[in-house]
Amino acid sequence: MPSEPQIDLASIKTFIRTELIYDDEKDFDENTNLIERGIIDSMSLVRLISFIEENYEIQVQDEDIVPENFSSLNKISSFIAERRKPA
Amino acid sequence: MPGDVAAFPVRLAQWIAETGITVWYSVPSALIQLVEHGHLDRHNYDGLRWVLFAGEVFPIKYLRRLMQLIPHAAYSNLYGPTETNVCTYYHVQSSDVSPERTEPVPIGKACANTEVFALDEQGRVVPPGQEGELYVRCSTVMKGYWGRPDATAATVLPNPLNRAYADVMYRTGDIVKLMPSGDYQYVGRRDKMVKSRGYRIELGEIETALYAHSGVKEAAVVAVPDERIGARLIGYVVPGEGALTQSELMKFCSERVPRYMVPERIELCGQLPKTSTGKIDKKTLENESKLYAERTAN
Repeated sequence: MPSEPQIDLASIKTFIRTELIYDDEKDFDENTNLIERGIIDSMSLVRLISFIEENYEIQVQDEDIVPENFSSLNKISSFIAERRKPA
Repeated sequence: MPGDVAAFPVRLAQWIAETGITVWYSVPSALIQLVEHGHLDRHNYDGLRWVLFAGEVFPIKYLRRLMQLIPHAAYSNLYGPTETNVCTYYHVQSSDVSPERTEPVPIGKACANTEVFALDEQGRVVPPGQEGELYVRCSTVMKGYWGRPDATAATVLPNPLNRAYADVMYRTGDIVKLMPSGDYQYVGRRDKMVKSRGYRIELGEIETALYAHSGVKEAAVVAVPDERIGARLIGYVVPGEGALTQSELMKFCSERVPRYMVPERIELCGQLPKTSTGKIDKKTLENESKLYAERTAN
């Protein structure tokens, strides 16, 4: 079985910064609430999810799209790890 | 509405049900998100009595599904550019969303204390069945564009149908068709303006922003029609001297135009396709970006 790509928080962060907010000034860390800070909104969330689905080969269901899974980088990382656990 | 609810369709549906809100008014793209990802069938929305939408075309297939999911609410389509505010309305009937219908619901008739009419290219009022450009008269027509007397003079015009006293009307740039019922049906724009998520966008403004970068030799922005958000924006840039990256251009662009006008992707290319007269061939770029959009459809 090919090894799965590591969950690379830096690449997700870069994607958010360069493709979704285009703004180096607006800094955020692993625990920043991305929604409350206005870093991602409903439409950029859709693009972030496509990015995650493509890069980590997971399926994100509508039920998964909740703040508990997507409101910070740490939560996104835990969600991806959880989803990739062998059944 | 709490910000952390708006971004999550499943939570938003739950929130509408739990708060029992009675009137909803938004752009169609917010409602499309709910229809597609909100699992609306899981809750009751007994309190919700009226859903109003405006700002962009609501593709009929999503409106039909919404009306099936929440059948007891009334639905209204409102229309009005910022320059006039809302000036027409249409109360949607269930017969308007029959399965065979493909065109969007009409924008309807003039609101109270408002007059709208469609004129042909000769300035004549169009008869039913014909298309023309929509003009608006009402007390909320703007005075003009700040610091842009030329743009004001082109759109705020004397009313040709009234010679009795000074009276202005606003030229919307929207082409409409007058239906036999007296309702107007939106057809499209006279110019190149596009709408994305309800925002009005002139592609030329984005191109101007890109050209402001010293490393950009040529730039073109095209809009790919997208039934969920109206249009997706794709940029094409030919770099001049020096290194140039997509993210650098994105950032540069975002400092000059609002976020909703920043292309979701800027392709760097060696050259842009040209027409026989040497102009940038937007048609070819549009076709190319459609292929990209299909590959990356959500």
